[in-house]
Amino acid sequence: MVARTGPVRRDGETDREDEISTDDLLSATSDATLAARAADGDTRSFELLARRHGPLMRVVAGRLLASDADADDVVQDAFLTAWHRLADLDDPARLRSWLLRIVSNKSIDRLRSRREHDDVDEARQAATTPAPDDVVEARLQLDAVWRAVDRLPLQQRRCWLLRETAGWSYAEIAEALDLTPSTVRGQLARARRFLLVEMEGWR
Amino acid sequence: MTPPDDASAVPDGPRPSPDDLVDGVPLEELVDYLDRGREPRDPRIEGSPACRLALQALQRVSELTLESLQHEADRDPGRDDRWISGLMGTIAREVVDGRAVPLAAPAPGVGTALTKAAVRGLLRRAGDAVDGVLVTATELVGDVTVPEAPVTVRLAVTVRYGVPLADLADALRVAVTAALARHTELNVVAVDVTIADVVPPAEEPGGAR
Amino acid sequence: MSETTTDHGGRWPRDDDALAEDLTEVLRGTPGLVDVFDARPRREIAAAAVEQGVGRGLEALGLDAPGVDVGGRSSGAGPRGLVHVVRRADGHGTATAHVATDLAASTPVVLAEAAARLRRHLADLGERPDAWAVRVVARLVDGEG
Repeated sequence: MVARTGPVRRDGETDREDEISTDDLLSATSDATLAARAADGDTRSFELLARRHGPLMRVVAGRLLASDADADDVVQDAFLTAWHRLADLDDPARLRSWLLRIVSNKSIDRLRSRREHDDVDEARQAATTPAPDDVVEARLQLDAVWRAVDRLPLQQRRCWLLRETAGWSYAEIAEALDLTPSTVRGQLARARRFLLVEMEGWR
Repeated sequence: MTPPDDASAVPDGPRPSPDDLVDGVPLEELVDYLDRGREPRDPRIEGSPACRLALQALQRVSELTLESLQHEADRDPGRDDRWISGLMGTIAREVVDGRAVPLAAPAPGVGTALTKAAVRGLLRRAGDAVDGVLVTATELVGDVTVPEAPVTVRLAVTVRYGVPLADLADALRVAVTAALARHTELNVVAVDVTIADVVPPAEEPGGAR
Repeated sequence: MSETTTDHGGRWPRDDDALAEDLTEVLRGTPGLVDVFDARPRREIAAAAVEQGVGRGLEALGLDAPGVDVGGRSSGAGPRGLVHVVRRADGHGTATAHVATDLAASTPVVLAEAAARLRRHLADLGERPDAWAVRVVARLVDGEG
């Protein structure tokens, strides 16, 4: 894009060219700038953030909930909350961590409400989660790690994801999953041991 | 290797095992050390190649977790379109900002106005139209509900490196004043521009974490 | 359907729905007006989705949420009566519209024209001009210019 000394546009008109280039510019813009614009009320910038980070959030929710169906609900709710709380975001550059925190909170809320309503038998829920595609050999280490995380027992996986994606403390994880902090430590230790072996084993 | 026991069988603490020692240092201790950001520096750990290797592995397994989830998320591009549309639809339907910027009544019994959000959108639009500029914050200072009351527009912008700044402020003033003159009856007495950030010509998507 | 004495001056709410639809269509023809948002409060949207006659029951159900207006852009497929019509027992009424105007036009001009069209339509229907307050608010200024 050539730097011009200003468009001196009359009467607030814009070129079609400028419309396109603003959108292009937005798609290549940092989280911090998009978050600031979204906090100012720009829904287009917020939508770009949702497109950029939404898929990861949805996957995290899906793994925490052991349900892809619920994941869409939870992630939509999480982004709606994010839209309302953008002004609270102290450091717009840390947007992704902030979103991960919100989506994991919403996921835990959903888990709690399942427990209270006794809606779903958790073991059954975990069993019906579609297994990763084992037919295709994992060519990438990332695929191998994805499958390894998915093979963790549900409780260990939840502890691991809350810790590693959203940075929850042992106390927070314990409270969320109705465990003691030392049990959480134990779960994390087991999960970590398994994943270390898987990671090393691939090499 | 099969995963360890089910959660229901787990005792209260991590099971001690010879596997957990790295050069005599328990793995859990290395985990905590890493969590603390390797501060204060522990010479016993930092002096041991095996420990440093283990710390690297611990770091890596953390990073790989998030990376693998992102990788999985990237695999199916259209997968999220539906809930994203739902989200944006919900946002569009939300509470209208109660504060309106009124216009002079065109006839008795008639009231017309713009919402404050509409005016801010106009300001962003006008500012974005200036080459190399993205508006990051807008503010109207003054009582917008009183006709002729003096109003100052404040803009914060991100500017692409290389765009001459002196001309920029003028260009923004012209654009903003023109847009507000066309769409409102505000008495704009000043346009204050703050350059919040200067960015390199090709800013990376995703930006800082 | 029986007539009831409600706040609608003796008229059945359905008349107001029809009026809202007419007024919405009238709006759409205004030059420089690019879209119509839903200006109705949430309880009215709920009422339209429920069988007629619930009336005050809605308040009892807790669907009355003061101060919360919900309006969205009409997709064409949903409700067509997006102008918020309130008719009072004394024959007075208000009509409120939320719209999007064209960036290339002049918003005050467009809104004035939109309001004028609404008033003309009300007059055509035999309503007393001085009995109605019309309000048109631009929630968005949009377009390619």
